[in-house]
Amino acid sequence: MSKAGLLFVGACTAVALIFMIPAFKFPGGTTDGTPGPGYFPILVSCVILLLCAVLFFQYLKDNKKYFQQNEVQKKNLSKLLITAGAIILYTVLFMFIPFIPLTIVFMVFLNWLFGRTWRFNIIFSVIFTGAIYYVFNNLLHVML
Amino acid sequence: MDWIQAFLGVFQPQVFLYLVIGVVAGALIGALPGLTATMGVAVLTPISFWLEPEAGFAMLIGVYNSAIWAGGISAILINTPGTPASIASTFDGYKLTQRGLSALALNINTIYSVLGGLLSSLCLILFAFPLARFALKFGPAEYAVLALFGLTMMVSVSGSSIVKGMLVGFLGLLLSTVGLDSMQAYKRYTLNNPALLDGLNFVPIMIGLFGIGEILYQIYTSEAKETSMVAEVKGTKKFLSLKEFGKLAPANAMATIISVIIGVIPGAGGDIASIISWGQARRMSKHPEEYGEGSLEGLSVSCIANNAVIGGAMTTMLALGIPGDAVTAILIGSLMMYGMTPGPQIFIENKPFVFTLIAQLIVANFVILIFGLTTSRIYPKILKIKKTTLWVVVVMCCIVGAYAINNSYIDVISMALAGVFGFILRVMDFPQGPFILGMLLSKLFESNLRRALSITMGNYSIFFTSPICIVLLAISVLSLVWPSIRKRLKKGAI
Repeated sequence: MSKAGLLFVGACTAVALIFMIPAFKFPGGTTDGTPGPGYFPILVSCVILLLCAVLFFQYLKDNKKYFQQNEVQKKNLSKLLITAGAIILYTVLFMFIPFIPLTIVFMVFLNWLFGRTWRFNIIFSVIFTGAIYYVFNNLLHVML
Repeated sequence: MDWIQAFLGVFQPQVFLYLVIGVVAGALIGALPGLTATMGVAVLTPISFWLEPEAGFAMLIGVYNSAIWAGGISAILINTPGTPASIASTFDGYKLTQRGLSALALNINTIYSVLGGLLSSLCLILFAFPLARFALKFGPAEYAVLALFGLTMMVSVSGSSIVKGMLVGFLGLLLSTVGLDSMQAYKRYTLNNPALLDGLNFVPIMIGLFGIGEILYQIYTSEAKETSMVAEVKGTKKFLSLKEFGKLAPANAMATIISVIIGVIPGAGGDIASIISWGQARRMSKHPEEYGEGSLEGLSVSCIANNAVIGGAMTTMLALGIPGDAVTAILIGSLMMYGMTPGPQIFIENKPFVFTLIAQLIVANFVILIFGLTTSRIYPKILKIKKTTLWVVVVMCCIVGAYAINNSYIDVISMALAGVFGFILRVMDFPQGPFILGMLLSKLFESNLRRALSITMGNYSIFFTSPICIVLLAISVLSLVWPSIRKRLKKGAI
């Protein structure tokens, strides 16, 4: 089985355990039989653990490689990682840097990454940032 | 009287304006391959929260209907479906374009999509109210089983493996347990952060999954050089004659019935409906050899089917609170943000709004008809917009949209993380729909499950004594085991 499949099953198992273990310490049910707040997370976690086990054996039995990259995907991997990183970085910097300069830089960077011409890149980034700012800030009164 | 007020409400300037904006936006989103109706509704949902509920929903309803219709435009002109629901429109639509009949094909797409939308709205009017009245008889046990039924049905038709679908759906259920417990107000997994007391916000997660996740997937799988899409609207014959229209009527009536029923099934969307309807119409046709070679009947059937799903999907959404497809799952989330809970109670507590929603659905179809028939010449130009431009636009709309919901940075970060998660699901061939449905149904499922057990002092027999529960459980189990039974039957093992 592929490492990616194993990792995903492992991650789901970890999530189920992270939710299940503390749930045992939640207050118990009432004497009239009403289940406590831990009942549902434990129930759902158990089903997830069971499904993870089934999926693990399915992967093992199939013995085929999931998540096998083709040539196009291999070529695009760096672009994908840079884009995902840029989005996460932008969402973090969103808290600290004013919207307009940050967004123009972010859009110029993405357009450059996607191979657009500088002329298009700068004009589009400035106009689109302005349009978003106007719509959200002025029309919808969102504090950007 | 209710209906008159509802229709008058739709024609209020602000509501009608946002309906038209929704139709135009939906046309752009649907016509451009890579942008789906689900993504469009998800990205525009935060904007709708800044409007009055009537205006906000008018926009979303406009986008939903219009994007499904417009998906057929690129299917006909460049043999690439704009949305998954238009896959079957490529079979005959593109052949008609090759024969120089693209103007006729585009008008068939518009007229039959609108017809599908209107007929399914009629079904919505006929069936939603009795279904809601019936659902009022449901107790906690029935509701708990109904939630399970919704989840299993979505998993069974989501295309991927049942185990993968179930796993993702239960992960959605689990993540929704974050926040205050609904029965004892106990803090669960809140990490002492007050922002988490209300639980994880559903909308940014949905925007991330369907917006950012989809864009990351497209970046990962797109060819380096974008081939230019050349399209032209040609042909002197633009409309079907009345005689041709009459000839196509039986096949289209059958496709409408099939599609409304498919729409009712959670998770089964326009793509499944149009392919099944197209296949069924071919089997019934006197000229099956014309199907796939530019058959007018084949195109009309696929076009009527994808929009006819909408009424069915909205019937279960409104009457039971169970979404028929991913878009109605998002609409349920939006209704909840407005303080309305879809299900039988909405027909009592917010009855005028239900009428308004249905009226919006009907008016949206007429707006699409006028818009579609008058703008067909501009689509070749729209199809020239580069994918990379769309990627940047969608990414920005997702980020700003997620922030706009509550002016919260946590929402923006959770949206970005959900985007990465959505990408992983796509790459690993896990369906995303059950995750969202799990998140949506979690509260309904948990609170009713625990309430039912409290009624019976912890006795589980309540789930096996009510006839409604037994039927729903039986269908759920059958839907989960049916694929493996069918496989074995095919192999001849049974």
